[in-house]
Amino acid sequence: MVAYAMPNHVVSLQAITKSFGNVRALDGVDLTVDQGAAFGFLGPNGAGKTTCIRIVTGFIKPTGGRAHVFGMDAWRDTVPIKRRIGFLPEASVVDGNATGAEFLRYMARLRGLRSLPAYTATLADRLELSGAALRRGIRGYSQGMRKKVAIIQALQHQPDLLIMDEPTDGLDPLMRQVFFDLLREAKARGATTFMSSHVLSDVEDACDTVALIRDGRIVSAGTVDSLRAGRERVMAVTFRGEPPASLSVDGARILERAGATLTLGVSGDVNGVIRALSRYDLTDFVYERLRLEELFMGYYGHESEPPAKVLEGRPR
Amino acid sequence: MTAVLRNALWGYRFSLLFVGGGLFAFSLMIAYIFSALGGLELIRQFEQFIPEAMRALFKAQGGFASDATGFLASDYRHPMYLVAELAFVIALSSGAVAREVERGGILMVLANPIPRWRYLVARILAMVVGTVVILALAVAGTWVGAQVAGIGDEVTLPPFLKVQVATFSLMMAVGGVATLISSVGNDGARATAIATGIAVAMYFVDFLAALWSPASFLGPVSFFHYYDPQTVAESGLLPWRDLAVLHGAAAATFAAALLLFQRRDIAR
Repeated sequence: MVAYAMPNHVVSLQAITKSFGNVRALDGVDLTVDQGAAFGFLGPNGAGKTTCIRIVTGFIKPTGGRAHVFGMDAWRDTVPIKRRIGFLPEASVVDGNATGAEFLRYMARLRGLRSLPAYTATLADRLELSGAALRRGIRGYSQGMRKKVAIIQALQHQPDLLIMDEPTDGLDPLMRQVFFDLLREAKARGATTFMSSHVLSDVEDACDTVALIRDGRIVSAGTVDSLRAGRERVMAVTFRGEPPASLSVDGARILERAGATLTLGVSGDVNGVIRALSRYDLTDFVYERLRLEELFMGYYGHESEPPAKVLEGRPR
Repeated sequence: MTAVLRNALWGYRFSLLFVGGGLFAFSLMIAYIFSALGGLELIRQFEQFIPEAMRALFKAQGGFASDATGFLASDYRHPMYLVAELAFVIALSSGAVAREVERGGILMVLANPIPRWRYLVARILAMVVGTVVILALAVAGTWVGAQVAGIGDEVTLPPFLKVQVATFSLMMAVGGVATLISSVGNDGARATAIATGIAVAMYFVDFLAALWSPASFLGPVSFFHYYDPQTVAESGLLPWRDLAVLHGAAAATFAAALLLFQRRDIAR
């Protein structure tokens, strides 16, 4: 176990438990997020992601365990911690009575700023929120526009730690890319990001370390590459003519035969598989990168099924 | 804290305008009607026909008024007047936390480096400022009404300012209870409903205690027991004991609200 509340750990949770009445939402969660990391918290609805985020942001007091942010107690020292964080909650409810600009000024004033930081205009420009749009009442905003305003308030003071709960809900694909660019820029200046999502591609695009949570427990954590290591990947091989009936490849198992195409599940060293296949005349060969989605499904209910089932509907 | 206070007041500006304007108009109308009825003489003749239950509503079992000031002040216990004020106070108080938790807006506000207690104090101050404004408008309505109705020489401001000190104390006590309920709640409508229910129950208890002697021991339980605007106006004295009870209740409930809000989870 690593030492907790160390300065290089921006977030550290040690044996965190949280119960709401008889319901145990978190059950012994341990995790650390280092300075400059882009951390993704993955899990289905109700797994405990939001509870974990609210413990980190000081909205919920853990029933047991220790939660530290920047080496400070997440519950007791929540005010000094919040000077250094930007938070994007799951439901981005912004004050409907105000205009976009008024709301952002209000958020800036709550941080003790007399006026909007210069970065606010840059963010509005990048997220395509025009001056005219910001002068309009938020009540008339679409869900996507409200999300953009919420993103701006979380980023405008250039925090050291960005905490985001389902940050891309309501954003169109173009704006998602802009948002990820903004996260990469924040990371480049040394900021740490801590985000939860059930959109796996978001986490895959934005994060370098990941934790998977299920029923209030961390079931796996590490870098995306380390999570991929040792997991079975799918290889689709198309032969010129029928594949040999007696084909057997060390390090792979046959998942499916469909005409000239053989689908293999590869879990060992791929070199042996390639050497074995090189003896045949092939017309196509697809070896897909294992996506977080496969990993996720493996952990959340399809562990016993072959990856080919998981990949149904995807190009082979 | 100033930012939260300003934002809360700005958010309630229309409620403030409508309730304050309504009370101004109502107070003006009462003064005008008093004059149009011919003043105290006709009202004294009419008084004997007023059932006791209705007198109890106005805390006027001993007679309606000895002068114009007392009569106009007794109308500060008019159900319409109290409903408007209480609706305003309860809406602001129950909206301070429970409604914000329900909407999720509190997460964005408290993600900033402000202690929870300061947020709630700012919201309580918004309610205090709003209440002072609507009570001032009500007095202004009475005064303007008296001038318009030609009874300006019988009606002076100081007794009504004292009445409004008492009204303010009552509103703070009710606002404290509503804030306490809101501070632990996750549902704005439920917090409003519970606070309104408690206020209505207290009003009924005070009414019952005044009307039915076997229930008179219940009277002190109600905040309305400590609110008698006609007596304040006629005596020209502030009822210090009643004010102490109401402000004591307000202080206790506000303190409890701050403590509970500081400690609660914001989990919704």
